[in-house]
This record gives sequence, structure tokens and C-alpha cells, in this order.
Amino acid sequence: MEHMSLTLFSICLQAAIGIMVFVSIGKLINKDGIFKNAMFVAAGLGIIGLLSSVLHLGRPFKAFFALNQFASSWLSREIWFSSLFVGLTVLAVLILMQRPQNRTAIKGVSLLSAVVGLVAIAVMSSVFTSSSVPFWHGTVTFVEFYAAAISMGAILFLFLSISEAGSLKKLVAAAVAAAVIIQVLVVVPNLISLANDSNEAIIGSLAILNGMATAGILKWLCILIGAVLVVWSAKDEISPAVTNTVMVSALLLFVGQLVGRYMFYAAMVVGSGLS
Amino acid sequence: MAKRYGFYVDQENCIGCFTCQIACKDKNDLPDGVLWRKVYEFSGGTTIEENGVFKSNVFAYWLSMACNHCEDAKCVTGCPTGAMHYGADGTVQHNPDLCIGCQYCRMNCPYDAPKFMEDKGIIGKCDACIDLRETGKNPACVDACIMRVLEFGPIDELRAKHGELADIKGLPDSNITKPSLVINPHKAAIK
Repeated sequence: MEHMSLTLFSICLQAAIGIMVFVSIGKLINKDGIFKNAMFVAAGLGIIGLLSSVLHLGRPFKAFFALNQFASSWLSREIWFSSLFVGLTVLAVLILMQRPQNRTAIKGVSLLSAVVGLVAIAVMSSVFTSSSVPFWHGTVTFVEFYAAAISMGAILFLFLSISEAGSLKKLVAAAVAAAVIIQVLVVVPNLISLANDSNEAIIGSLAILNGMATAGILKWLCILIGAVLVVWSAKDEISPAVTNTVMVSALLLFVGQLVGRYMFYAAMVVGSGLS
Repeated sequence: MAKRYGFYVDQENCIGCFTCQIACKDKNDLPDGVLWRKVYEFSGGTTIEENGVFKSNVFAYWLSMACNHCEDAKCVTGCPTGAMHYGADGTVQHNPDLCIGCQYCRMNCPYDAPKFMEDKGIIGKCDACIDLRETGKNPACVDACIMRVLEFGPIDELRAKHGELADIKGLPDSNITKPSLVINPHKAAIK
């Protein structure tokens, strides 16, 4: 499970960012919405994500050195933006706990956190598209990362705040469906086109993915079934059955994106394939 | 502008004895499984029958590869701490005190030069034996080579002497990082 800490870092952080995006949208649409559970889970996922990123380091106690090279290093920028996002999300939760009546501040900090989070996803994607791993190059990485954030964030937001967010379930279902459709339309043709690539590193990456075919099937089954379930339940009024369906959908989408992200890291073959 | 230094590899005359690899490992006291200079073996081809005549195009050749001290080193620009940096002679050097062991340089180097040292939790790589060079000696791999197929020196002088080729089969496009590397290729490695 060599890649698990990086997988947890990016999946937890992207899920947290997605939740804060929908918390912000929810607060704009439903002015009485607090979405306390969603905000707490977003802060928790963000903290778990940051801790995971530190634990994969050979020298975790020197992790703050990674802030040194913002001007040149995408990885340094990623740490800056990820930390800023988690800091803002925790701040929004602290204001919610200490000054719940100050809704303007909560809404403002939540919105700022969501915007910083969306920038953080672009920076995270650039960490990989600028590397020497050809399999990670191109817009497909951006699509995978944003689709994961939107699909997981939307469904977790709905599940965690279903009593307040029930009126937003059609919006959530549309967001999940759009994210998953775009993910399928970009990722699958990309994999098919890579199959004809003569680059030795690409061939090496595809050989690794072929060895993980079962995981690949699990990824797409979880994501597609999760998306279908949330779309299917969007037409019904909130009920225990709908809540259970949303919970299963959230679980499936999270597991599907998690498995997919593990495969993304596992497929790392640098440059020409020398190793 | 300061001279940039790099390696010349006479691949055509390399016999794959691995002496350079072992000299590097010994000089730097590297642990099991870690090689800062590695000799790669390439082989292929087949034997076919044509009108009762057997024809063979089998080949085998080696490539001795370490850090190429690239002019546009992606390990340097990607390093989040500044541990990877250019030394005064233009070679790519690594400061272990700044390294946090994130291994992002391993994702950035298309030549797979930086290696993770599990025992120390940090990266290690070829420093072109900077300590030996300060005393006027060659890097350990160069002096150990029994075929004299490795040279180290100012890359402009190596290019003037041996040509400018750094693109052969099995290596990434040299435009990506501009390696300080010149190769006399084996005939089967020519692109």
C-alpha cells in the first residue's frame, strides 16, 4: 500500500473542497442553511488529508521546509494552497462554534475557503502534469481531480445535511451526474488512445493498470452506480429510504474515487521507463 | 558564464562489466538496492530463416547512467524545499539537511537519477564526486572504468571532442531537461 498516504491526502482534501463548494452554494441559495455537519466533516477530512501528506514524507518533522519554494515548485504551491484551504475551513467551523449568530462571517470565510480550494485542485493537478510521468500529463488529470471533488463533495454535502439540503438534491444530483459524465467522457477515450502510444513509460504505466484490472472495474462500477443512485433518488421527497440511498451513493462515489486515485499513483513510471 | 560539467559515455565500447556501478556504490557507501550510477542492459532481435539461410539481428548493449546534471533540471525546479540546487560548477547538488524525503524529484527526473534512501528517509544522488574533484581527481566511476568509456569534464569541451548526441533509444528527449551528457551510441541504440 505504498501510495495510500498520497491517495488519502488528495481524496480527503478534494472531498473536503467539494463539500465546502456546496456548503457555499447552499448558503447562497438557502439563507437559513447552516450545514454544520458538512462543515465539520470538511474540516476533519482536510486535517486527515494534510496529516496523510506529512506521514508519507521521509522526514515528517521537517515538512514545513516544503513551503520554501513557492516561486518555482508546484509541490510547494500545493502545500501552501492546501494548508490555506484547511486553515480557512477550520476557521469557518470555529466561528460557527463560537459565534453562530455571525452568519455573514461564516458565509464569507466558507466562500473564501471554497474558492481557495478550487485553486488548490488546479495546483494539485499541475504537480502531476508538470512531472516527468507521461501517464499523468494532459487535461485528463485536471478532469479526474475536479470530477472527484465535485462528485464526492456534492453527495457528501447532501448526505451530511440532508434535512437542510433536501431542497438542493436536484442540484446535487445534476452536479454529480455532470462530473461523472465528464470524467467518463475524458478518461476512457484517453486510456484508449494511450493504448496506441509507443512511449515506453506509457507502456509501463498501462501494464501496471492492466495488472489492476479488477480495481479498475471496481472504480467505474462504484462511481457509475453511485451517480445513478443519486440521480434516481433526486425525484423523490426526503424519506428514510431516500436518505439510505444517498448514504449508499456517497459511500460508492467515495470508494470509487479512492480506488481510482490509488491506481493513478500506482501507474507512476517516469520518463523513458528507465528504472 | 561558469563552465557546466557533465559526462561522456562511449556506449559503443561499453562491455557491461558494471565496474562503474560498483565503484559508485562503494565510494558512496550505498545501501542494498540503491544505485546512483546504474548500468542498464538492452537486448532484442531474432533469428529468422530465409530461403534456407538463417539470419540473425539479435543485439545487446549497455548504458551506464547516473545524474546527468541537466541545464534545465526538473528536480531542481520541482523541489519544494530547495534541497536540489545547482552547485557552483553547474552540477546538480543535493542538500540533505533541507531534504524532507517527499520524493517529488523522483517524479520529475526522466532519467530516474534521484534515489530514495530508506535508511535516512531522504533522497540521495550522484554529486559527480565533488569531494574527489576538489582534490583534482575524477569521479570514482570514471577512474574505475576498465574500458575508459566514461569521461567527466566541461560539457562544452566534451561536446567539441565527441559530438552533441544525447538522444538514443531508451532515453527521453534531451530537450526536456537539457542533460549535460554526450553519448557515442551503440549502433542498435541510434534513434
